[in-house]
Amino acid sequence: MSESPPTAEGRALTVSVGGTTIVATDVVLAQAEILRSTQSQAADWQIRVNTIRQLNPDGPQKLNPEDPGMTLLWAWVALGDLEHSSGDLAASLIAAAERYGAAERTAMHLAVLESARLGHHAGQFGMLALLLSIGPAARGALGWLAWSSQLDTDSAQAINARLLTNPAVVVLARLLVSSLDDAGAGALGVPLPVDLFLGDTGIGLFGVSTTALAVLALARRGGKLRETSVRAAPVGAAQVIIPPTGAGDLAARIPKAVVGQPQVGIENYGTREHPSWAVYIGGTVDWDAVATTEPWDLTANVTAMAGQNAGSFEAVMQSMRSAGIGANDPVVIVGHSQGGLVATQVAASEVFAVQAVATFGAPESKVPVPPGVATLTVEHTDDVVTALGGASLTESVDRVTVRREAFASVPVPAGEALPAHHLDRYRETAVLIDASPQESLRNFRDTVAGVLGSRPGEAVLWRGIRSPDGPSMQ
Amino acid sequence: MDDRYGILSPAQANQLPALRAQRSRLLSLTGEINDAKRQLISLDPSQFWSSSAQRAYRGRVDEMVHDLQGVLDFLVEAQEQIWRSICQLQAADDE
Repeated sequence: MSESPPTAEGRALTVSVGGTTIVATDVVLAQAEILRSTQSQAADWQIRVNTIRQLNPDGPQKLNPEDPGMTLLWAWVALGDLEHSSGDLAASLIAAAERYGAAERTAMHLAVLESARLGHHAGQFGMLALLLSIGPAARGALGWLAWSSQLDTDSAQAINARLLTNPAVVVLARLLVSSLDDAGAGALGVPLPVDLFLGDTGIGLFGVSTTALAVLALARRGGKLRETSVRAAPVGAAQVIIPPTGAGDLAARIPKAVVGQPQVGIENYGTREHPSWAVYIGGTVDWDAVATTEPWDLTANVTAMAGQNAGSFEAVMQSMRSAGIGANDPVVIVGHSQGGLVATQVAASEVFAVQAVATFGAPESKVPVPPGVATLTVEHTDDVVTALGGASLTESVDRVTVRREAFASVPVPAGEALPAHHLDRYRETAVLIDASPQESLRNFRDTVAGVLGSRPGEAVLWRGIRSPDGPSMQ
Repeated sequence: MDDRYGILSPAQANQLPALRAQRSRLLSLTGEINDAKRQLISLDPSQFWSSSAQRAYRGRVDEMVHDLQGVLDFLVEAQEQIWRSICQLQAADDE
């Protein structure tokens, strides 16, 4: 398929930091940057005009209409006005973009609240069974789509193109997943105010993790989604590699989800006395509900969503320990899809001194990354997988969320399951992130560069394998 | 009178290099401001907004472009004034 270059709409990024959201930042901020530049230039030009006036052989204050000193004085005044107006316009531009983003955030909060009410009422009226069946059914459908796309069937292509790569469907899926726990609370007779207080819209005691736990309990009775023990080992020899310089490099080094291939990459930088590390974690490989040998499977997905230690998480922890990462060594950890969820959990475990986390297309989660850890969350608004964690509504000054519609300006490709979730699409977005002048994105790049330095290091790939007959971790 | 200054007084002869320096700096400054003006004209709000917000933003940018043109007009006028002074001094020297 030939690819046309994305238009401005296709390049538009939405960046949220600590409750502040800026819409179309790469374009807005580029223009704001030009206005700021004009502001500082005007100040510089004022100084230079004044210097030129001082060169006047008759002195700068000769008030003669034929004297350039007077004309330059007017230019000096006009430049002062320009300095103010360009600065004001740049500030207004940013403020307007933030207000637009705030309106979008408020709309999402209200939608989550309303879906919680609806879910609660549905549970009260005995529709819990129906709603609960939708969660596993949706996950099963995704697995089926991923599998069926390999068969290249027309029906899978059509459903995928029309439905699953659509921002509206993604929002609906997010609201549906968020409301499943409210349906359960309604069915159990929990009063609505208590449900809202304890749920996603309140203190967050209940939420998607509760739903995932319920799904696990039901599925495990039928022999599905059962965790196993795992082991991890290096694959191949170490390769010399230079440190990543931005989100583009980080995304490019995440292992692709391929059956039988390594799922983790670990890079070692710095010196023997002061090492630093980069860890890259791939996405889901196996969508079967029965665990076999692949730890990056549906079982690990649901287990991680339930807040438990999944096989993929255990494999990453083993790989990191075996690679020699010390408890105090600074680490940058990166993941795609399930790998992003695992990366967040590794940071939250505080077993390692994670300094920065970057996730691409991971389901939204409420996993609490420790304060001070720079977090970059990248989501495509037309990637339904990010909705499987519901609406996290998480706000943190350390967390930068970048959203982009992957297929805003290019047609959805046929024959590809969940194309907006594909690692290659996220790699494209990562390149756009590196090109953005947004300050919080620059700060994240600086953090990564500060941790990993600029000297070459060594990269080793790792592969985790389940031991189906081994003792379960649950 | 010293031959070095022709018929110009020493004070007048010293004015020429100062005026030329002024003019040279003004030419350089005018070039930079012209570049900035072109950059401002290229700002396209339709890339991210539409309707009234877009028009308001475009209006403010147009005002800035107009202000910059005003600065350029002053600088060009100053250059012409300096050039006239240089010509007058050179003519006096030639006489």
